[in-house]
Amino acid sequence: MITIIDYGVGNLRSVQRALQRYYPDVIISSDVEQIENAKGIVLPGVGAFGDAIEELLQRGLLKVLKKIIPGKPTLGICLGLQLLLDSSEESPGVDGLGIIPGKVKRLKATQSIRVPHIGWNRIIVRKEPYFSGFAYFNHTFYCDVFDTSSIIASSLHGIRFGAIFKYGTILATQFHPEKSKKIGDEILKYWINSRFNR
Amino acid sequence: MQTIIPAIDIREGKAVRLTQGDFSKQTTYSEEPIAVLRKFIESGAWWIHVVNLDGALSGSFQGNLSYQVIMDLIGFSKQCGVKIQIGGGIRSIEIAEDLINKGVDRIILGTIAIENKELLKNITKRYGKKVAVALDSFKGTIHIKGWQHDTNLGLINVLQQLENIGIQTFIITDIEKDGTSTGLNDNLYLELKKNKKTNTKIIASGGVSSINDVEKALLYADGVITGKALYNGNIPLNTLSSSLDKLHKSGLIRRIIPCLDVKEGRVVKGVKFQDLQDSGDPVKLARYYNEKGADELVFLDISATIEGRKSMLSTIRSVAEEIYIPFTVGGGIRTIEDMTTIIKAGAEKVSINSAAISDPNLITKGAKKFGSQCIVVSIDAIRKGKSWEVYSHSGTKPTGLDVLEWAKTAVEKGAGELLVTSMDRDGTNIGYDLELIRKITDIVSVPMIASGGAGTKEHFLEAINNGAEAVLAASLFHYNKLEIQDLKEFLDDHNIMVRL
Repeated sequence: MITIIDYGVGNLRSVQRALQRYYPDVIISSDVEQIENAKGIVLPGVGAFGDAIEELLQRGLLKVLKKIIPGKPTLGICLGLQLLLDSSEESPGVDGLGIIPGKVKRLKATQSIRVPHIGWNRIIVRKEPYFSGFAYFNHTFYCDVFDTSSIIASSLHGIRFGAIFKYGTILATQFHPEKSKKIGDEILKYWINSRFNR
Repeated sequence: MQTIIPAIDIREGKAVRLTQGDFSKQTTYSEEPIAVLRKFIESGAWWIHVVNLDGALSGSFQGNLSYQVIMDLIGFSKQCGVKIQIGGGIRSIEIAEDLINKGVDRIILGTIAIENKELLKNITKRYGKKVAVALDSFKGTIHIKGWQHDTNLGLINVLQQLENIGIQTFIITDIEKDGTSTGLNDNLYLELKKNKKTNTKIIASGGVSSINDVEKALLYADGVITGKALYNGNIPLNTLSSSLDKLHKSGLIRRIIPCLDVKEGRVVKGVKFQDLQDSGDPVKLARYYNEKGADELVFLDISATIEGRKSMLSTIRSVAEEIYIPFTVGGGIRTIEDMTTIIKAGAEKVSINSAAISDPNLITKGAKKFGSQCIVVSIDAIRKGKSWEVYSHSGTKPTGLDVLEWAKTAVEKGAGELLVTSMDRDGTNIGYDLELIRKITDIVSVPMIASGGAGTKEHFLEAINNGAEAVLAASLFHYNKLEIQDLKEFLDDHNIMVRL
């Protein structure tokens, strides 16, 4: 069983449906037991950093996630990735899960760089597995991680920032794989096949 | 799209460089060309230039040690989403076809472009933009066959003849300078720029010895190829990387967005497609546009009843779960609860209009809960002399608000994107209100979706060139007057980044 963590905001069904193409047993839940017993978890993301942490706290999930993610295959998506870091410029004073060392920072707008970063951007591969093509982004903040070797692909929007991360048990994307057609599908398939279908 | 193109020349399966095209002045840089390619790709290169030197020398692309290595390079660059151009001994339509079928983005013809115009014409007829001609010049005359033979033909004359055949891209190498790292021949490229057609692309090659040369080349060329300077460290890879980033700024494409008006669960404004049954079904239409290459969709709910709104929600769910196209939903959103329902159902973004005008704090609340990237403020503008007035309630009620002032306020309140419709252009097909686009994009730093007035491909190009990040149209797409794919190819031809 793979559990998509429901913390109140965002659409989780499209992630669920996309994953179910490769692994049927995917549930959406905020139940501690269903999260602890899952073979893998998905931390999805729509929303603002501080609000999301607050929602996790209220559901009693903050501690659970801190404890189990380092030992469990985890897929982080967009804000779900950002929550894994230490803190975010979006919500100063709010602690993140602190699993991936680093800070979430704001993309800087210039004459030609519009922020939020919305739409399809090119993925620049760095490491295997190679995922390439255009991915759909919708975000204002990016992950400035301490250990840059965890960045397996990046994208360019004013600066080069991490688009796909691999850190310990975690695979995470700054973009939305469930909306990114070919590359998104490849990532979801890779995650399932490499972690659960062996 | 201007870019810096790292070069990999292959001889006997190894990455080498020649000096001035002389096969006896060869330096081997790597036994593993794939490793070289990987480094260039990681540096952020968008294009890679590969030459089969064995092919260039023998006149036969296949049947040498380098062929298989080049096949591997093609495969790897495809895997990494990097474009690749290949030359060296492509002297038949079969080889051209083979390379194009394997995913090569551009084939480079040299000798046959001079010696076999019929073949060149045939290949160009078939592969169009994917054909480039490499002209190697030594003191103003063209050399062929791996630079061994002087044709005594003048460079500019030949270029103009080939333009008339339909060649749009030229790779101009100054043999005198190539591999010498003594700097680019500025005068040559200036001369070319003066004499070429506007749409002809010139890629400079030969003699790049530093990043300064690269930057100088980009003043008058559309691209610059560099090889030796990368191999000998005159241009370190991290310098290449930062120069590429500085040049491209962003890999973000411009979005093409069809807009669907949905009333009581049905698409209205008469959508007509011969190849689509029941074009009133928003889910079917979403799938249709997804397949046709739309980058995103906007659904505008114009339902007047509660049942209508409910069926809209089921549409949103179906689109999110079955079609996976990013989309924004607008129309009748008045509260945070409305936004929550719609975002939970699967929309990426919500668009608010009248409710934001009566309570601008709604924008702030939405941005706090969902992040500003989820909150689109939609503005209906009507031109009043030199300014524009905001209209609310589907463009029926004047608000007295100045559009530019309101746009600024909306962004300050937390809007992550503005969807600005010129009401007086809407449905006219006479083009977007470019002045409005320019003024809005000048005063705000969030992306702007331009809407209202699109009638031709040129209109989309103008809107983008005036600052719009995304362009929206309804009837033009619905009546099949314009195919999204054609539009994207047109924009691509005009150096606009699109997702093809």
